[in-house]
Amino acid sequence: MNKPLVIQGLTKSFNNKPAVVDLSLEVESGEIFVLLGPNGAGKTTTIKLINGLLAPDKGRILIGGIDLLEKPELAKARIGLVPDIPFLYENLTGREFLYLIGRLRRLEEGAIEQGIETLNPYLDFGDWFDYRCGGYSHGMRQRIMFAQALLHKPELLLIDEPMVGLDPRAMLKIKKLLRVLKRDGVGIFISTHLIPLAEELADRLAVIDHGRLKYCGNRPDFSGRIETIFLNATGD
Amino acid sequence: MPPVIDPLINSYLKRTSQGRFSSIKRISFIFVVLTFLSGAGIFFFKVYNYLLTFNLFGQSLIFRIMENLLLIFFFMILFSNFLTAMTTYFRSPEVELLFSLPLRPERVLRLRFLETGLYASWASLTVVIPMLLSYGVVIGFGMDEAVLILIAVLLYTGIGAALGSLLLLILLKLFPGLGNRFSIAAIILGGILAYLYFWFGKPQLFRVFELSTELELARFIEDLGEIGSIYLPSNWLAFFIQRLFSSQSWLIYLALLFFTGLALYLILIEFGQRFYREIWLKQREFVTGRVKTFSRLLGQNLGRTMAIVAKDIIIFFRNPTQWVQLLIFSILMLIYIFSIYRSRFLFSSPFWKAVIGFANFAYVAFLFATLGVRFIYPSISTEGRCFLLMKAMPMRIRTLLFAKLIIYATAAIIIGELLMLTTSLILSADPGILRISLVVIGIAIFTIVAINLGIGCIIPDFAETNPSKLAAGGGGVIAGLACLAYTFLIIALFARPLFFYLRGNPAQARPLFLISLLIFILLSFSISLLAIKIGSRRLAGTEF
Repeated sequence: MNKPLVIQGLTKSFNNKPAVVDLSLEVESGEIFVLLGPNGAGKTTTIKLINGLLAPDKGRILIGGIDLLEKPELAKARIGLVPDIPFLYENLTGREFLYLIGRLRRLEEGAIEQGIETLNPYLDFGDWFDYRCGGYSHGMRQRIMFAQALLHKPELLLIDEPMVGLDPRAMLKIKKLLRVLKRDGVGIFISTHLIPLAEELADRLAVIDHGRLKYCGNRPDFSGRIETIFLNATGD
Repeated sequence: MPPVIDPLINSYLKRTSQGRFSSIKRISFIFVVLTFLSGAGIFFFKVYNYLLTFNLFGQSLIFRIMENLLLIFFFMILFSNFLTAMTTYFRSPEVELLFSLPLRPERVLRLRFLETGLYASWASLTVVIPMLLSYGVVIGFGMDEAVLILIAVLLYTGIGAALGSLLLLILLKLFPGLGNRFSIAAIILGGILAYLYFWFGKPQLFRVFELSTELELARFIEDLGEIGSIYLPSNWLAFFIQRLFSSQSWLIYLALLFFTGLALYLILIEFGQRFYREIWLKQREFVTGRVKTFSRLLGQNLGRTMAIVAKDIIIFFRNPTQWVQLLIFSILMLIYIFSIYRSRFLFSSPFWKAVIGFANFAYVAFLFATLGVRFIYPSISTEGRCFLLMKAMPMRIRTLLFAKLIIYATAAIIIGELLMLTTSLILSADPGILRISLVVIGIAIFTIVAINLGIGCIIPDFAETNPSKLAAGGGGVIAGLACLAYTFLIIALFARPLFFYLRGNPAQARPLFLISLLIFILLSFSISLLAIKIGSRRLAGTEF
C-alpha cells in the first residue's frame, strides 16, 4: 500500500531566498507526523507545497503514490487541509460552507450530511452552524475548517497550527478526533511551534529551521526530550 | 484641524498609496485616469463647440446640459457615498481595529469619511471635472478660473459625500434594525419623490419632445427655469460656472458651496463624535443571525461549477452593497426605457430610426462596459482568502473562472437583450435590424464579461473585500478602460456602414456591414478567448 505522503528533495525559494531546502520525509498511514519549527522556519510553506498551493522549484511530492505535480486533481482529492488562518465566506452559513466544499469534492448530499453527523460529536456544531460565518468566533471558524478537511475522508490530513483559537474543551475534542482518525488509518501531518502538542500527539517528529530539516525521529527517540532536540536543532 | 493634517489619516493615505500599489500599477493607474480625463475633455470640448454653432439656443442648451449632468452626478455621489459608507463605516475590519485604539470616535469617523468620499466619488469626478474645464477652454479662461472651478467641484463633491454619510448615520441611529430593507425602501422612495418633483414641479420637462422648431426649443430652454432646485448644490455649481464666464458676481454661489460643505462636515463630525461608536456597536448585533435567503440552494444536487454559481448567487443577495447598487442601475435603466418611450414618435422616419437604433446599441454597450467594472471585475478578488481553499480543491482553478463566466455572462446577456429588445420594439425597429442588434449586443456583452473576468484574474487583490473599492482601484480602472476601448472599437466598426446607409447608399453599406460584422465576431471571439486563457493561466499560477 502506498504511503499517504512521500516528499523527495523539495526545494522552494522566494526572490532567491530559500524557504524550504532539499526536504525529504514520509508519512505512514495511521501516523501523526509533527513538523516542529520556530516562526518563519518554512512549516507553512511546506504545507502549502504539499497541497499544491505553491509550486516547488525542485523535488517530488507523492500523495498516496500519486505525483502531485503530474496529477494535481487526483492527488488533492486524497488530501484534507486545515490552513493556519480559518478563512470562510462571511455570507454563507457553516452548513452552506460545508455543502459547498462537499460539492467541490463531488460528494452527494447524503455523504455530506453523514459527514456532518459523524463529525458533530467532536466539533460541536450548535445553533451557530446555521448562522452566517461573518459572526463566528475564531474557534468556530477553526472547527468548520476541520470539518471541511474531513468531509471527504482524506488519506492525508494536513494541519497548520491546529489549536490556534480553540478553547480547552474544543482542544480536547480535536485531539480525540485526531486519535480516531489515526486509528482509522489517516496519515496526519501537523505543523506547529508548540512543543507540548508535539510531545502529546507525535508518532514521528521532524524539526525544521531556515527551511532545512534538522532532525527526524520516531517516538522512543524523542519522547520526553523534544525541548532539547528543538533547541539543539535550531541552534539556541 | 483639516483632515489631511491628521497623522492617522496621513498614515492611512501613505499606506493606501504605497501598500498594495506597486509603482507599475500606480503609473498604469495614473496613465489610464489621465487618458480617460483627456478623452472625456475632448468629447465635451467637441460637443460644446458644436452646440455653440447654434446661435439661438447653443449657449443656453450647454448650460442646461451642464445643470442636468451636475444634478445627476450630485445624486450619484450622494447615493454612492450612502451605500459605500455602510461597508466602510460599519463592516470593514479596520473599524474594529480603530475602535480598539485609544482614539476618539470623531477621528475614526474622519478617516472613514475620507475613505468613503475618495472611493465613492472619484469616478463621478472623472466626468464632472473635464465637463466643466472643457467649457472653460471653449469660452477661453485663465488659470485663476481653472483653480476656482476645481475648488467649487471639490466643495460640491464634499457636500454630496458628507450628506451621504450623514444620512446613513442618522437613519441607522433612528432605525438600527432595518438594515438592508431600509436601504431599498430609501432608494425607491427617493426615486418616487424625484419623479413626483419633476412631474408636478417641472411638468414642462415632459413636454420637451413636443417641440418642433428651433425657435420653440430656444424659448423652451429659456422658460424652463432651473432643472434641479435653487436649494441644490448642483445648481449652485452650475450658476457659479455660468456667472464666472459671464463676468457676473459668482462669489455668493461659491460661498454657498463652501459654507454648506463646512456646515455639513461639522454636523457630521459632531454627530459622529456623539453617536458613531454607539451605532457601530448596535450594527454589530445585526451581523449574526439565522439566514433564510437561498438557504437551500447549495443543498441541491449540483456539480462543481454550479455549486460555485450557487455560492456566488447566495453571497450576492446577502451582501446589500452589491444588490442595492444593482437596484440603482436598474432604476436608471427603467428611466432610459421611459425616455425612449416618451420620445418614440420623434423618430418615425427611417433616418432617425437608424440613428436612434445605433445610438441605443452604443448606449447598451457602454452601460455594460461600466456595469462590468463594478460587478464583474471584482468577482475574482472578492473570493478573498477563501481562494486558498478553492486552490486546495481537487479541481482545475479554471472551473472557478468558468463558473463566474456562466453567472455574469448569463445575467448580463439576459438584461442586455431585454433592454435592447424593449427599446427596439418601442422604436419600432426593422425586424432584420432588431435580430442583428440582438446577436451583436449579446456577443459584445459576453466579450465585456470576459475582459472583466480576465483582468480580474490578472490583477486580483485578495486582501480587499469591498467590490466598490476594487472597482475604483487600479485594476478596476484598467478593466474599465479596456472595456471602453473595446466598445469604442465596435461602435467605430459599425459606424461606417451606417454612415453610407444614412447617405442613401445602401448598396455600399450592405457589403461594408457584412465585413464589419465578420471583423466584430472575430475580434470579440479573439479578445474573449485571450482574456479567459491568460486569466485562467494567471489564476492557476497565483501563489499564496
